[in-house]
Amino acid sequence: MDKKEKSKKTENIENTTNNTLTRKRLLILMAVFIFIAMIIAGYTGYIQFVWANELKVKSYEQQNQDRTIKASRGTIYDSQGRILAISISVDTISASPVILQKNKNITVEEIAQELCLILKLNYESVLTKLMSQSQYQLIASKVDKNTSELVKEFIKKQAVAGIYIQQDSKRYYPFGSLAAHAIGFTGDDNQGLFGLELALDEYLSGTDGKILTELDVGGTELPFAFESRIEAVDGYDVITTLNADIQRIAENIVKQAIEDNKSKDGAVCIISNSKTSEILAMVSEPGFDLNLPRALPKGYTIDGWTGLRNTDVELLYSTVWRNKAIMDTYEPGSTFKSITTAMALEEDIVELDTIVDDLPVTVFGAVIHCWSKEYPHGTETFLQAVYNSCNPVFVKISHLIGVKTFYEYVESFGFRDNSGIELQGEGKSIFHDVPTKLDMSVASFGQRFQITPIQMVAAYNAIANGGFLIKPSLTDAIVDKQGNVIYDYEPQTVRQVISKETSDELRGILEGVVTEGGAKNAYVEGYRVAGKTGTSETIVDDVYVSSFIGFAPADNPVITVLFIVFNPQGDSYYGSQVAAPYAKMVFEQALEVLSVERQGSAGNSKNSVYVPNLNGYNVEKAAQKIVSYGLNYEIEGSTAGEDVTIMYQYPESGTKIAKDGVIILYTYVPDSKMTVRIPYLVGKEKSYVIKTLKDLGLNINSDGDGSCISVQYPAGTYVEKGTIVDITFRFTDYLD
Amino acid sequence: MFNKISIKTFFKKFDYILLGLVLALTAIGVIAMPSVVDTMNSGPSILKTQMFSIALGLVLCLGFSIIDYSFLRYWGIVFYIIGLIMLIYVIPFGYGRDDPNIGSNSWIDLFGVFSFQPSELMKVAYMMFLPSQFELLKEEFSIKRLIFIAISGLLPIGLILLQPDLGTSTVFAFSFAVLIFVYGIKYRYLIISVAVLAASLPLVWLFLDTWQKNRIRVFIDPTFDPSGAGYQTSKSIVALGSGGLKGAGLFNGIQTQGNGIPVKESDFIFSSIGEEMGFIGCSAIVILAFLIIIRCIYIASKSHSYYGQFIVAGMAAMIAFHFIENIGMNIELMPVTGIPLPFISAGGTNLIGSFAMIGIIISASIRRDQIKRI
Repeated sequence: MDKKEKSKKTENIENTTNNTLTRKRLLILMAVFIFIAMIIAGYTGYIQFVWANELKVKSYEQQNQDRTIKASRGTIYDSQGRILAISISVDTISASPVILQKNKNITVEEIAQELCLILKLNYESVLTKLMSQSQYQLIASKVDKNTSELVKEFIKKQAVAGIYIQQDSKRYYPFGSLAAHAIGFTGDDNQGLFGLELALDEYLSGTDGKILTELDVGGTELPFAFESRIEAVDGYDVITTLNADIQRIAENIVKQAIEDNKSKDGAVCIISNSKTSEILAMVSEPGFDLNLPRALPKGYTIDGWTGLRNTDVELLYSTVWRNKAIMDTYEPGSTFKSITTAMALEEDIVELDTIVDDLPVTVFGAVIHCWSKEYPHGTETFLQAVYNSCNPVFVKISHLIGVKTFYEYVESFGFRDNSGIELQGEGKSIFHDVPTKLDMSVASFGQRFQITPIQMVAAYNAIANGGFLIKPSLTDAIVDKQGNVIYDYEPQTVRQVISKETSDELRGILEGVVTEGGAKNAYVEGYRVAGKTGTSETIVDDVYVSSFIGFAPADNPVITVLFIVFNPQGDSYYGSQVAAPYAKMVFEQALEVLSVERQGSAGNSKNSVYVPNLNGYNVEKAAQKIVSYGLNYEIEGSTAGEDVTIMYQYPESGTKIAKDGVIILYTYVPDSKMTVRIPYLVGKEKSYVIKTLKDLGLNINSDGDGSCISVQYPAGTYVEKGTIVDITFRFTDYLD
Repeated sequence: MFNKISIKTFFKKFDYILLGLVLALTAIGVIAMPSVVDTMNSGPSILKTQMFSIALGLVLCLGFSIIDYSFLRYWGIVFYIIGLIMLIYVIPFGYGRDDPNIGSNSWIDLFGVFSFQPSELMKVAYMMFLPSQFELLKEEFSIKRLIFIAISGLLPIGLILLQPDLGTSTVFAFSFAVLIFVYGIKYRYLIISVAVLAASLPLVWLFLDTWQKNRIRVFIDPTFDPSGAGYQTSKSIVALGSGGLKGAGLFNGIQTQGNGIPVKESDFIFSSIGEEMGFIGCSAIVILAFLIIIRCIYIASKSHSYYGQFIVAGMAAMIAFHFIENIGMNIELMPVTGIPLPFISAGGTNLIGSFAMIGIIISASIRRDQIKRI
């Protein structure tokens, strides 16, 4: 009953009110939903039409790029601004097989075939990759731009989906094997692996940018969380102290020395600024091509060589990659006598005219003879003893110096510590832990201890520059992409080892060693070379190390040169025969490059001179230079006007001619039709370079595409019209 | 208890429009799904579950449309209580919290054969039960019943928050609010509650994480950049934007095929479809979705019983909220939660639940002239 009544009541209410309120509310609800639907549809349209183009690019980027944005690696220059290492743009080609397999107008086999044709890959392996059920397969990395352009064309022409081309960069070394050990190389991810590339990696590499995805409290990635982009900071450029010209000179001479002397274990040549210890050239032979650092070293045949296997890398490290200039240790032999002499002079133990004798000396039962055992020099002045390189004299002097002081000097000259050069892997010098008097006696003439070549160079620089041990360095400055100097490397003085007076005295002595003593083969007309030869045995029979170290000009040293030949198997193994003649060539050519003027060497007026280089000089300057060499000149061609420049000379520079000889100078006016001046081209676009040179009437032999990174002739030189100029182009990111 | 209607009346009054709209929307999902899951390892199993769920959903839909919905007026409480028990059970015994893609204990695993989300089933039970209470309140207002409604309306929300699944609990809260609105709450109360909510926003701010605050800051001022550099775009927008008018075509979307869109088969299927089917596909979904809702509200307004009005309006609100929230988060107008797109997203329980609701709504449509009787 109760229920029935209630239901009737309900019916009545429904019938009477017809619940207009709820109906009204439902209509409002409907309106709200329609409004929301319009907003949603409108905004979707906005995204898909207005944002669309921008987002399409991002869609590709998001899918195909790493979560990191690669920073562009800095460029390495030599001291003259020539590029030694640069990052060039290359492409990485990848595919998404699952998408690729859905192409309707072309089969996977056809795609594989075409890719193999363009990229020169193995068909089977590419096909396997493309047939796999995966999202991502790497097809080829570090593909040069021209090739990737072909792939792009193919994708476009055939409307192929699922092949992606990403920009990447690759290290390129315009000079190939030049200064390979000093410059070093990078790995696949452009990370420094070796040499300066490794040592200065933190500056060169820059900071990669990032695409950040927000994480929730639990650390999981939120789907579609906002992303923020932190742009990459490009690496800094490095200006080294190396000089590519001098490096090349040194490398050529080293190769010649190895060949002439049938060296089995290579050779080392370090050329350093005597005053600052900056390294101008560092040669370690055998070397390798920086563009192909993992190539199989010459003279080896190894199955399945990849250059990447552990055994392969070990071989590379022990052979071509080994930088003997800093990693290997050697017995300096007689070259160390300069150091002993420095101690003696600094400690006032002897004077140059002190009378000494080279009779054999017995230390703890060991008899030490002069090298000239059968015909000892007998009584002589100390200076003569140095010239004659008499071992017993140095032994006796070392006894006067005393073990403690002697080894204090050894330490002070830097032989106990790493030289501090930027490069990694410096060898550790080997001395007796607790040296005895006998150890010292032998050490006084450079035997039974081992040091690295770079330590020796630093020590000789101290002798040459007034007594300061300066940390050897390969870096001049680090600059950012805008050219601001970030770090300016000033020479770092470690300590003063000897006084200026001792240094002055020693320079004179060592010049005498070259002019009158045992290092005559290193004598260079007009350049006043000072130095000392050395020959030392190794623990292996008949294996010698022959070296020369010296500096020039003796009165105001500019460069220090260390030249070491390991294991010469030719007619001679003496440093004076094996190393000194080549050091002489290095001095002569390097000082020429550095425009160091020759001088009449003191008390030694010779009758012949080397012809200086006059190309590019104007007449007035050329005349001055010729006169300063004690030569005469004749001019062929116009002499009118200031612009008149020497185009050609006879005899050519470097030729030895008699003093009072005549040099014929051929002049030209620079804007005459015959010759043209090479403009500054580095960094310019290929099309621009070609047009510019064509307009000048020059021919081009180009290598690569993109921006110019090196030119055969430096800017400002004059060449004849019609000359073929070798120019290297590469795609670079930031040269402009 | 069941009001029998003849087969002839059934077919005559059957809501072909609503079923047609739902089938059209489902068809878009069926067309898109094979492409969307093509590059996923679990793709085939997702497709299989999806097809099975659609079939089961259709059967349920037709079943519910045949049965007189008004029996739910009395049986709704049973389903509601079963739902509550499952929601309580799931908090300690469910699984999902350790799965980074789920993050809350919202799943029950039945003997390893079959797993489902109680909260999805609760959506249906909730909307069977609460309208009957609102109907009683409409018939005879009493504070006691009001309190009972408040408790039974808020309890499931609280339980789901404990899982914790903020997204699903907002679905309940929204549809509860719609019921209150349709019930006829006076505007002054409505304004007061909105004001109270607005006033409590600064309090909410205190409980937000930094990324949530940043998102709101960016939402208000797009130039505000919390990370200090760069631009801000979500991947879903990128996928949508690369679609353009006609889309990249099925099996061709870079983001979709490259698995650049996470949960692309469910939460972000709208973006995937947007990339591959373009604006045409997207607008078809939006239009169909809201036609369904509008049709439902129309049915509600034509119903002659309060229960019919409330149950249809409530279920329509629930489905509508899914559409708004899901599409809204895809186009970045709404914060990201794990709410699926009804009839399209992969996810069996939701699909079955949604079809069941449509079945109930059709049943109410067929019997719209019916008034409450015992």
